[in-house]
Amino acid sequence: MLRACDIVARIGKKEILHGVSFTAPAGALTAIVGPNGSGKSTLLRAITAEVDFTGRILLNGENVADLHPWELAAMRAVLPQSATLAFPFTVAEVVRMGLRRGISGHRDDIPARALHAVGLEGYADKLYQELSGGEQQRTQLARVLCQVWHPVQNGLPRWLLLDEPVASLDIGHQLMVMRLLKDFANRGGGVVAVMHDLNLSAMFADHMAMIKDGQILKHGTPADVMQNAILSQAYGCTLTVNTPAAAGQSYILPHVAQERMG
Amino acid sequence: MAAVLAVAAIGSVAIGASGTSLWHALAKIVTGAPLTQLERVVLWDIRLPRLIMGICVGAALAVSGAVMQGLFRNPLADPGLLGVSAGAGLGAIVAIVLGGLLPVAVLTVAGFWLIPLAAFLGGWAATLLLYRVSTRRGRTSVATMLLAGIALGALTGALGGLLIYFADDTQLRDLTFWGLGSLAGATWTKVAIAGPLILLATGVAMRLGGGLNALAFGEATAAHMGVPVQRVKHTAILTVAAATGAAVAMSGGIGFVGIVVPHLLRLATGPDHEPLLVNAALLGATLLLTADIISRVIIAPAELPIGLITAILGAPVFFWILLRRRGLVDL
Repeated sequence: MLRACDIVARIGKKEILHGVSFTAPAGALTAIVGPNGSGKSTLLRAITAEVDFTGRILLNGENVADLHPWELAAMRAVLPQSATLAFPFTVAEVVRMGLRRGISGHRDDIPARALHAVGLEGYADKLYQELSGGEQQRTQLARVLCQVWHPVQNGLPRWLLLDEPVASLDIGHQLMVMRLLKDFANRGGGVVAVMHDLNLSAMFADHMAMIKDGQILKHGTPADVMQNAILSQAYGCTLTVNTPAAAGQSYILPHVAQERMG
Repeated sequence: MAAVLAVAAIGSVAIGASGTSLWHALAKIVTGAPLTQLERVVLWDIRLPRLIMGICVGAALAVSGAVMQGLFRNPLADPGLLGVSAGAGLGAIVAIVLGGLLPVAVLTVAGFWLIPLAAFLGGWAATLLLYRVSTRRGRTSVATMLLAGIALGALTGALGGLLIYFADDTQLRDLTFWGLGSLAGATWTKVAIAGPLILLATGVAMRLGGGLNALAFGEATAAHMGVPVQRVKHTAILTVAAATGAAVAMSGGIGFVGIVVPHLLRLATGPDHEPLLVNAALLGATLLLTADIISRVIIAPAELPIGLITAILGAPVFFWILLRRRGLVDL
C-alpha cells in the first residue's frame, strides 16, 4: 500500500497541494488525472521526495522520510517526465544503470529482457542522445523496470511511480506501455502513474484520482470518476462519457460540435 | 595504460639535463652494481621526487577534471570552476608580494614553504566560500557554485592585479614563474606532505564513479536510483579541492590536463565513470611526465615551465574538442 497523508506542498511561495490524502493499493494500476496545473505532477513529486512538503508518505507501511536512498530505490523506481543525459551513454549502459547491486540481484539478462519488453531490442549499442523522444522515454522505462524487475520481493510489493509514461509515444507504443504496467500490477506490484489521457486511463487503470486545484475531487474506480458532472467540473468544459454497448469501454468526447450548434 | 605510465616513469628518471648517462645508472641498479655519488644524488634527490610529484600532480589534475565534469554534467568543466585555482593564485600572489612584510622570524621558519602554503590555504578558502554561498539546508546547487565561481574569479583576479601593480621586478618574475607551473621544485619533503593528501583525495574520488554515472541524468533521477546525491556532491567537491589545492600549491598553474585527459578517454572507452576515473589517473600521470620530459630536454640545459608545454599542447586539443561537438555547449 502506498499512503500519502495530508500532503501540503509548496513550490516557491505558492501552495500547490492543500492537504491531499491519497492511497494506492499494490496489485493495481492507479492513475492520477486532472487538468494542467491541478497539482497532479506535484503530488507524484511529493511522493518521490522531489519537492518539499509536510505530511507523511508511507510505502509498504514505512515512512519514506526514514529510509535511505538505496532502501527506497529497492522498493520503488521513478520514471521522470523527460530525462536529458549529460554524456553519450549507449542504450545498454543507460538500462544497466537501473540494475544496481543488490536491488535486482545483478541478473545479467534483465537489461536485455527489459529492452525487449519496451520494444527496443536491437537498440542496445545506439547512443541514447541520438534516439527520438519516444525511444528515449522507452529506454528510461526499461531502466526503471530493471530497478524493480520482480514486482514482489521478500513478500513485499515494489512500486513503479511514473510521470506521464506515455506522453510522447504513438498510439501503438502507448498501448504497449500501458499493457506492460498493467502486467506489472497483475503480478503483485504497485503502479501509480500521472496520466494526461483520460480514455487510456479509463481503459487500463483500476483506480483513478481526479485532482483539481490542489485537492482530490474524486477518487475511485474509473466508472466512479468518469462521470459527466465530475469531468466537466474538473476541466471547466462540457464533457460527455459514452459507453457503447458493443465495446463495453467508456470513452469521453468533448462537446464542441453540440455547443456550436446550440 | 599502466605499462605506458611505467615507460614514461623510466624515461622521466633517465632523461634530463645532468648529462650523466643515467640509463647506465639504471642498468647498474638492475644489475646491482654500485652507483657513483653524482648518480645517486641526481637519481635519489632530484629525479625520483620529481617523478613521484609528477605522477601525483598529473593523476590529481586528471581525476579532479573527470569528477568536476561528472558533477557539473558538462564535459568542459575543470577543477578551476571550484575557485581552487583562483584562490590558490591569489594566495601565491599575496605570499610573494607581501611575504617580505612578515617578521624575519616567521620568514626563516616558513622559508620557501610560504608560497605553497599560501596557495593551498587560498584555494581552500575560495572553495569553502563558494560552497557556503551555494549550499542551503544541506543542498548544494552546482549551478550557483559555478556562477559564484565566476564572480570570485573576477574578484581574486582584480585583487591579484592590484598586488601585482605594487610588486617589484623580482616579485613579478617569481609570480610569472609560479603561474607557469613547474615540477622543478620537487623535494622529498614536498612529496611527503602533498603526496599522501593527493593519494587520499584521488583515491576517495575514484569511488564516485557509480554516483557520477547516475548524476548524468540529473540529481532527482540519481536520487531515485538510490544514489545518496548530497553525499556524492560533497565528497566530490571536498576531494577535488584537496587534490587540486595540493597539486597547484606544489607545482603552480598547470592547465588543460583536467580537461584533455578525461575527454580523450571518453572518446576511447566511453563515458562510464568507473573505468574513466582510474584510467584518468594513469593517463594524467603519463601525460604530465611526458610533458615534464619535454620541458627538460627542449632547451636543455635550461628548463621550460611545464605549464607552458601543457598549455601549448592542450589548448589546440581544447579547440578541437569544441569544434567537433555538433551543438553549442549547454549547461
